[in-house]
Amino acid sequence: MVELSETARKGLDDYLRQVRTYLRWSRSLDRDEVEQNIAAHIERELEGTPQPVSSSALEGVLARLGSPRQWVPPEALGWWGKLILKLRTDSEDWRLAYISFALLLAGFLLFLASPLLLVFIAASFITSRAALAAAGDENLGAQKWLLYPALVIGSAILATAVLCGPGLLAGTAGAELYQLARMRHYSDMDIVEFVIISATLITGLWWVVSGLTLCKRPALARGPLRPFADRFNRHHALALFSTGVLLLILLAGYIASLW
Amino acid sequence: MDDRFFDNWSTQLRKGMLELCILNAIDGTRLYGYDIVRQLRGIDALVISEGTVYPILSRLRREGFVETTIEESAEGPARKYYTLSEKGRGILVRMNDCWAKMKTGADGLKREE
Repeated sequence: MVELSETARKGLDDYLRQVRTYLRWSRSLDRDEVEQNIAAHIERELEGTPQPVSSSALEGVLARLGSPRQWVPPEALGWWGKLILKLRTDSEDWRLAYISFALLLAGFLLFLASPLLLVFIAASFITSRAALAAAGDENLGAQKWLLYPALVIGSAILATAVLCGPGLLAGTAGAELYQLARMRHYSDMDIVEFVIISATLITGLWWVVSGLTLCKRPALARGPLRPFADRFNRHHALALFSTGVLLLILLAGYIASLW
Repeated sequence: MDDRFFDNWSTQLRKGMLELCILNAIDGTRLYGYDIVRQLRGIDALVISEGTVYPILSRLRREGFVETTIEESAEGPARKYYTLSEKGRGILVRMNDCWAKMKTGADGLKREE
């Protein structure tokens, strides 16, 4: 048997430890057989080398043998093993893509009818944005399939919340105000009518203000909604402003018709 | 860009060629793993990482194309010898025939400069 120096022994143990880590994800490969093949190969390669074998001599043999991962070919891995190994060993941006998709999937599978779903979507959206920033649009490649579901869902929720959130809040507040006004006999208006008027008024005002703001700084919309709002410009902001003005005009006409 | 294309292409080509070369190496003889690696080493650009040969040998054994016998060695760990099975001999004839046809056809497409 070839005698290894202490550092060479540590190097070999580290190599075998990494091989075993990969072997854990394969059901078809025989761990003992792989380790025997490695041991026999190293033994034969180092025959005639001055002993104890130095770590540099061993490193040369291990370098020719190649990465510990190649001892477990892709076809010997189950889908779960492939996924885990990708997460553990792929470049940072791919890991983020897998994490993002896993968070989204876990959210829908475990918390479909719970508010926690929103937390998972938010986490998945943020991770996707980080992956997008790390890789850049043009270098995303197949990662798109993992990142875009969270980006589409997250952007849709964000855009809806920003555009309609103030109106919905105004509608809720309007309902509360209405109850108060009814108690004090200030209003004979129907509650639904009152809520719709409150929501439309605030939505119209909000769209006017945000349309004007985005006209001056369109990048405010592009950043949070990347990559879907990359082409957002002043014309789109003007359209938002105009829609807000139109809502307010329609609302004014409706209110005037009540009196 | 060219390097990446070439690397991908040569990796694909090497995958199939390694199996053919391993089977040819043990045709009519018996060799142990390290000897097979040493023979393949001599073929330029075929073996980038020597460790890739052993998983292929294991797969060929599982598929019944090669058979193994283990013999104790006084010089070190027991040696596992590989020989071609009857099934392996059959597939090797077909693989060599296929490769010869492909090589002849591909060479025929090359124009003399």
